Amino acid sequence: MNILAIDDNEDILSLLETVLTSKGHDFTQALNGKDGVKLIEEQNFDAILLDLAMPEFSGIDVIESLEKNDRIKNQKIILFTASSATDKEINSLLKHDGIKLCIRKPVDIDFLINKVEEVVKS
Amino acid sequence: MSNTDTSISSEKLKEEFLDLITHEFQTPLVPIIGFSQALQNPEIFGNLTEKQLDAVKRIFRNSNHLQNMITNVLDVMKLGTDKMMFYNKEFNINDLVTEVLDECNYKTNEEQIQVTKKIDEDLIINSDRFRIKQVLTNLIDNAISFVPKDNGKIEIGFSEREEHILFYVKDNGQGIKKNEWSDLFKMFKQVLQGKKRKHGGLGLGLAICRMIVENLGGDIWIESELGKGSTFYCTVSKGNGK
Repeated sequence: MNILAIDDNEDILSLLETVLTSKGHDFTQALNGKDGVKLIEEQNFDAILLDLAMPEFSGIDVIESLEKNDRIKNQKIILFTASSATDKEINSLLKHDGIKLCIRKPVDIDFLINKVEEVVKS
Repeated sequence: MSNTDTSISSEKLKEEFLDLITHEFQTPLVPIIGFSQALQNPEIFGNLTEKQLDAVKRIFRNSNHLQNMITNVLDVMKLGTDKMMFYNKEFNINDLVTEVLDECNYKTNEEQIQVTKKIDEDLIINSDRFRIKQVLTNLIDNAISFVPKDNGKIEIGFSEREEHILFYVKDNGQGIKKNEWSDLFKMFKQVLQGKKRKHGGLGLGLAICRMIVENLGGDIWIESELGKGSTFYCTVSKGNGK
């Protein structure tokens, strides 16, 4: 499986890389939303872990950008967020095409791996 | 700017500050909890020495404890700003309970604590999935703190009661005296007890559970016998909540 993670925190990306590659998955990372969109336009990913609260170009901007160029429908996006006040926001985001589920940070890593693998197989 | 405008703006500021600190407090815990969990897995980092493994487990346990406290404190702050919101949707309770148990597996695996689910029956209700999950997680965390570490037994179940769903979490801990039952669900009881307090932590978990289930049209209570253990019960409305 080829997984893309978009997150502005390098330590979180390093954790995701460590656990996902240990399960034999390919891992690609982007440290900001703009680079993430560029990667999605250039390559195909089996699943995308997307942080919401990123400076300058947020996870919401990534979703809007993918909707504009019609790339969102074919994606399997998992929101991965530490934001608290977005219960309502998250419920409405989950109605978008391509957005499969939301996992709140911090998370049990075995649970995270299972969910990513489930989404890819779905 | 009128007085009213100032007050709206101050509420908005509070809201945004709360969002910001939630994000800023939770984010560093992701790699701390995640790496300390990954380090315990020989498939990822190889075998650690006994001393290293013991140290990593202590980091993991304490960072999880810190994360629970942060979540509870932030929820209390949300209460103050009226920001704790509820969103109902249809979901299967059986799946939710399984998910709660899956997520707390890592807390019980290293101790000799057995958690069992007493029912396996699909049941769809229309309520706030996220908040009910928070209640059940708090009740299980609470039970984990009080059961014997070498022979802990926790049981979780649910059933239909007319317009409500009844959940229970039963433990074989030390039990609680009847005259202490009503105080268990009060906010800030740990602070009020001052230096006489019997347990660690902030004592917010059960108070938050009470507040959530009351908002979901239900109630929470305990039955307990000293030396035998406690059972926490809570109900939520099956329909549209409050």
